[in-house]
Amino acid sequence: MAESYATEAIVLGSRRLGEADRIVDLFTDSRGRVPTVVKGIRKVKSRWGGRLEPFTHLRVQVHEGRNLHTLTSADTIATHAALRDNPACLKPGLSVIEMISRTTPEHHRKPRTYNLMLSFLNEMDRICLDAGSGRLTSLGAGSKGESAPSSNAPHEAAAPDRLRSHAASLALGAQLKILLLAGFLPHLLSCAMCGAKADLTSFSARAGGALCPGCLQDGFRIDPGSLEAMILLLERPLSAVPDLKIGEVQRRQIRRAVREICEYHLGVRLRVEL
Amino acid sequence: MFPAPVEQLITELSKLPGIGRRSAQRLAFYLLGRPRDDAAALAAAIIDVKDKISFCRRCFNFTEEELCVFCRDARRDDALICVVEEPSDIIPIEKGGEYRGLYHVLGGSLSPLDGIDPEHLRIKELVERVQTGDVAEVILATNPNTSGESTALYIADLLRDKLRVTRLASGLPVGADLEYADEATVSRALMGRREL
Ligand SMILES: [Zn+2]
Ligand SMILES: [Zn+2]
Repeated sequence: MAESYATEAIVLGSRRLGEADRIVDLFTDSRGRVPTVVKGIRKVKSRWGGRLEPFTHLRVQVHEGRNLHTLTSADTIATHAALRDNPACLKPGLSVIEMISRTTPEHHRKPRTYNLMLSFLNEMDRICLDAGSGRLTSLGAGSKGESAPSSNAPHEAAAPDRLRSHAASLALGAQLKILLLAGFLPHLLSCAMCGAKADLTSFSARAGGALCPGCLQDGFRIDPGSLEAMILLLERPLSAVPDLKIGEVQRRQIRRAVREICEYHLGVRLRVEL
Repeated sequence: MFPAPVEQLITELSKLPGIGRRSAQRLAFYLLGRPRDDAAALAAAIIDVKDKISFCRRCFNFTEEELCVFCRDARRDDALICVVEEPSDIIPIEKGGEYRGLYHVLGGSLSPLDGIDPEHLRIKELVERVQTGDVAEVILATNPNTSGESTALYIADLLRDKLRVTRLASGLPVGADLEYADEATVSRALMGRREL
């Protein structure tokens, strides 16, 4: 009962298949995560070109085979190339892809997670653009000589640290929201064991969230600022994340909380560091 | 389902890259149908390659001796190193006939999702080569996909203030029509444009 369907999709990643093909992991709007065979993609003159690199937002046509689905056409909606070309954005971007590819089952429609991924990609594009990267500038008059590499250096020199920090915070926000959509909302306003509202000092995925000193069991120490930041990341839209000014220490603690939730509740060990 | 030795052969063949159970079965039956000498020659060739071939001490290309054919060749320019992901990537560059420098084989590309981090590639060895040798330029020829690009960026960051670091140009394939090119490829080509 083979049939063909059209959908929007985001490319999550791919692995080699045979001589010239790949299985591309597509996160589709209408059917969730679908591993899709793409024929001939590894050939230099493949008609697919660079359309199936991670983060690309596409309109696709897929043929539904008995075992595997096969891509029959793909049109780019947005390349989101800034995430691939910018070292400050690539790992945060991949960390969100990892979260989706390892926590969402195949062939289950997840429209809210899909929309979240789209806004994450758009926000990443926006912060890259604000940081002055990803825009093509004129080679200029001095470009023939030694001064060539610095044509847009003034923007970039000021931005990388801020861009790195914004990108990492955005990725954390997206990860927490993905967990929320998957049904995991840690206790953050009161102790997960006894309900005490004040003096929350540690976090335990096993207990289900923040803990007071009296209930402290296998949790790790967490600052009140990190718990607050986690609440904000869950409550506020992704577009507000860069303005939250989340610091490196807070991010490290939130990242650990996310990591432990995934390990304890989903049995997934996250590999990509921010 | 099959006699044990046949099952065993199918299991071993299906460990090969790109070979599923069905293809492994097909290959096993093909081998069963061949004369014993053919099978012995194949088995001997596999053992031979494992016994005789190792990695070049300097560039990690395959070799029968301590150094590979390129590292042994005194006519090659040792101030120039071309960095590739796999030994098989050397072949098209050699066939092109333009390149006269040496190589460095990384053994893959960075892929955090698959747990492949810098320490799993021969990046430390490349840095050592650059620091101890008289190298003027490193050409990064990793694949033009996300994993290859991030590997190139990572290495460029490590080497940039030590010597000249260049990246293989990427863009439209020779003979292609602009009309049919995808957006990502066209953007790449625009970024890598050259003066005429
Ligand atoms: Zn308590
Ligand atoms: Zn060598």
